[in-house]
Amino acid sequence: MIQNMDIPAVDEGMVRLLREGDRKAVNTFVDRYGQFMYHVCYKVLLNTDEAEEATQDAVMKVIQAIENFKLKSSFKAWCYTIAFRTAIDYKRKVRKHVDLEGEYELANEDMADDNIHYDETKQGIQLLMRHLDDESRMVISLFYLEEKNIREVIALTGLTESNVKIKLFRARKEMTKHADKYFEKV
Amino acid sequence: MEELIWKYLDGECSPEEIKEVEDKLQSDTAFLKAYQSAESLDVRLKKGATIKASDFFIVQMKTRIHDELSQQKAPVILPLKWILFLVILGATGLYFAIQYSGEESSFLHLPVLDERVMTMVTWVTFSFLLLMIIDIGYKKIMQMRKFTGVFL
Repeated sequence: MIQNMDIPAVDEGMVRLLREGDRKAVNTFVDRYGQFMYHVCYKVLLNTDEAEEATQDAVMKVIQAIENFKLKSSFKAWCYTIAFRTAIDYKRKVRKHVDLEGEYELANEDMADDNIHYDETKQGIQLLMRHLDDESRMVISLFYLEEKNIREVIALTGLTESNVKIKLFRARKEMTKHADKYFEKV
Repeated sequence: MEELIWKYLDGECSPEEIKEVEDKLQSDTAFLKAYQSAESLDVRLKKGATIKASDFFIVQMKTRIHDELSQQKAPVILPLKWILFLVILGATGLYFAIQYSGEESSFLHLPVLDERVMTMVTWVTFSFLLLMIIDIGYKKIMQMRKFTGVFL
């Protein structure tokens, strides 16, 4: 858990209200962190339906365990930890083993989901990311989600700076290697 | 080579490194090709690496969470357990006080129970207390494990 990141005052107020059982605070929390937690769950599970289920589970866990959250630490990092671990647990329980080919099929079915509109680039990137392990996929997606703010990635994942940089480099190298399969040559 | 290209694309190069990259882009064909591949991936990652849930899902999730929270029962069992425990403990204490105070009770004439029976009652009362403490502790641990998967 990251201890040295200040919790924004708005989050502190929201956390206090959540502790008091305020229902409006639940909506605020979902509006503020629902998408982020979904992003984390999706990057582990790579499937819309499973990511949705895991996200709901993770959001409930945050609300139920809000008493355990230490106000001095980063609320976003705490949400990230819970979402990531929930998704990993979900993956272990639901899918014992899915090989890469199977995942491609799963991805293609998933991309056709009516809930989300994927353009060609998004689809290609999601497929390309399947060549990476869970942690590398998470690091690279957080890096771009946080607009290349490496400090934020470090704070969220709890990894060291050199570890994040190595993972980023290796992930992008691996993705460059396979990019031609999914995108037309420039 | 690739490391320097990514450093350049992430805006982390020193002025000297920027110059080195820009010179190589002019003179080195292999470097230029590697740069174009990396830049193309970088642009695509900026556009496609993030993923968003549908608004419908977010609305639906809020409703489900509110429903789930409403269904959760208030912890009524715990105070009832404690009330029961205090009644048993109080009654036992009162009985002992009256029977073994050495004075004749003027307002209560309770039957004198065998000392072994009283000892048993006392043990049962304290075993009940111990079991309750273990039960509360166990439930708390299980709840934490259920909600977070780990002890955060």
